[in-house]
Amino acid sequence: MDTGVTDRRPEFLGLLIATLGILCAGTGAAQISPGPLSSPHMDLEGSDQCLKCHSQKKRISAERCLDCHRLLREQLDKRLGYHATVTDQGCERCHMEHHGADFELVYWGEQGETAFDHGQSSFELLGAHTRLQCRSCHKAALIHSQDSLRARGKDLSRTFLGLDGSECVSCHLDEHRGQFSDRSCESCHTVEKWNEGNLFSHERTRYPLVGRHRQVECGRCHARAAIEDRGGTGSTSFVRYVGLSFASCTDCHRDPHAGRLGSVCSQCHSETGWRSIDMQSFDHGRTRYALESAHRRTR
Amino acid sequence: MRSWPHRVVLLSAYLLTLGLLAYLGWRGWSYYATPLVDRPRHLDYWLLKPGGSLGHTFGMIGASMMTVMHIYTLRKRWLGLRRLGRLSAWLDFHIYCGIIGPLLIVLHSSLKVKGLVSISFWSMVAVVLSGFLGRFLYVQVPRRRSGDQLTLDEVETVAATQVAELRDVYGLSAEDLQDLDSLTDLDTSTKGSLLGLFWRLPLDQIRLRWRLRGFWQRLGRIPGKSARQVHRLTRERALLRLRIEALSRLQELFHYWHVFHKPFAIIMYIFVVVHIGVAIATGYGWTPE
Repeated sequence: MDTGVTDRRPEFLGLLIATLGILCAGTGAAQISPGPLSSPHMDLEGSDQCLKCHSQKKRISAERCLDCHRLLREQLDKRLGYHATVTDQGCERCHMEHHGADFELVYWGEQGETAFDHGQSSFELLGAHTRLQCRSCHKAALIHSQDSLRARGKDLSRTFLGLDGSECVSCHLDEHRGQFSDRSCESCHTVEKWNEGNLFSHERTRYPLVGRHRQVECGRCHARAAIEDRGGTGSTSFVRYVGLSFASCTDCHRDPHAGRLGSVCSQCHSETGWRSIDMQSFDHGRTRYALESAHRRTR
Repeated sequence: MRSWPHRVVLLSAYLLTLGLLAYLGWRGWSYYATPLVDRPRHLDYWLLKPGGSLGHTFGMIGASMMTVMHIYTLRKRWLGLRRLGRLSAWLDFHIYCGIIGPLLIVLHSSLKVKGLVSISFWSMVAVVLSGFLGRFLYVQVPRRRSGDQLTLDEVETVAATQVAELRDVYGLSAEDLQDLDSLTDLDTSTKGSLLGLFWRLPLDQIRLRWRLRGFWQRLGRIPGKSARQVHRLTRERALLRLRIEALSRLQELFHYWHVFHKPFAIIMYIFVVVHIGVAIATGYGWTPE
């Protein structure tokens, strides 16, 4: 049937497609993405970079994440840290992407990061550690291999990586400056109270305290020794506990007898008191006034 | 005219699927109503996001429906498929898939319409809305039961048959028939713009029904079942005359409708192919998460 209508379809169709083509050409390449990436991943923006994270087989490939997050890969290989415990889900389950530059990639739950169960990491928080803020430990000063992390683009003020929880001295200053390197900190200290070595007992040392020695303050025998502040710790001295001479009383005590009564103090003195003298073994003849005749009988 | 079983099947299919979609929309409303930036923290995020286990399934079923709906297009254009059922039935299938498929795509999108695929989404909306207008135009053009369009000669034959039946079987006089034909003197097709037909046609059909009531009153009492037949025949006759009068402009409008409906459909499919290609390349294939 002749409707008298001229066939304008091809022109109209061409015009429409061309218009949309022009509209899309400028922005099309960037528009394939479902949304902008978060700021840490901003350098992965662009339709030619999708496959740096995605794979046809696995949507988000953890392998591809770890190609960049090499430090994390090292930790996983060593079975260290929280991520080593997460084996049943992909990275994207916690670190959701394409929600804009300001979207927080690490979500700690409604109660925030302080509610994180640190026991899920390889370092369970105990004692005084439980009362600390996250950034008291997770800070640049305590991160090992800082240069390596910076080189990998890590912001040391934001990352939770880089701490080594295998030893106390990884975070704490060794106040003893290696004097007890042959034993663990926990043999004297507890995680509840660091400053009091409440597990320490002088009885277990090579110099058990007896008598009046028990009442003497530690510092009277263990003096501070000067040390160069190499690590910028602010500490220029330490208490010397190891290497003290104690074979003879005169290693600590002055000999008021100037050696005239011999070198074995214990012949007359004991730790119960300097002035309590064992008269049975005391030989007046060794003094400058040897007793003779009637003086011998004088009490 | 659809058969009763066909109507029942079609109505049941619409009720069931629309009901199911309404239920899914209601269940997921808490997620869909959540601002985009907060959605990743929502409990249903991994279920209802476009790539989520359910959201992805919505997308796959929706896209599949919007692909198989073109069996109608093939049936219409390819003579070899003439045996493949009535064209009108395939049009019903086309419309069903063209309504349910896009609704599934809306759920798949989770109302997050951004990026390149948004061109496809809004093209889809344009195609669906224009589809409703197309359906309206479709029923205005006289057709055979199979759905094929009648030629003008065939329409005139149908009209003549109606006149003969009204005159010979039900005894309407020449004056009555002239009175009936004068009812359709509404200038539907001659006044106003071409696009205006979209509202003039339905309005004139309402006016025509009012005029028919007056005509039936003027005819007086018709005994028994004949009254119903006379009312049906006169209504069909009047509507046919109205449509014959508007036929050339209807066909012109239908032509332009195709020019609008098809390009948007083509654009929609082009970007859907890109979208699906990107989805497959990035691991969002057939297996839901």
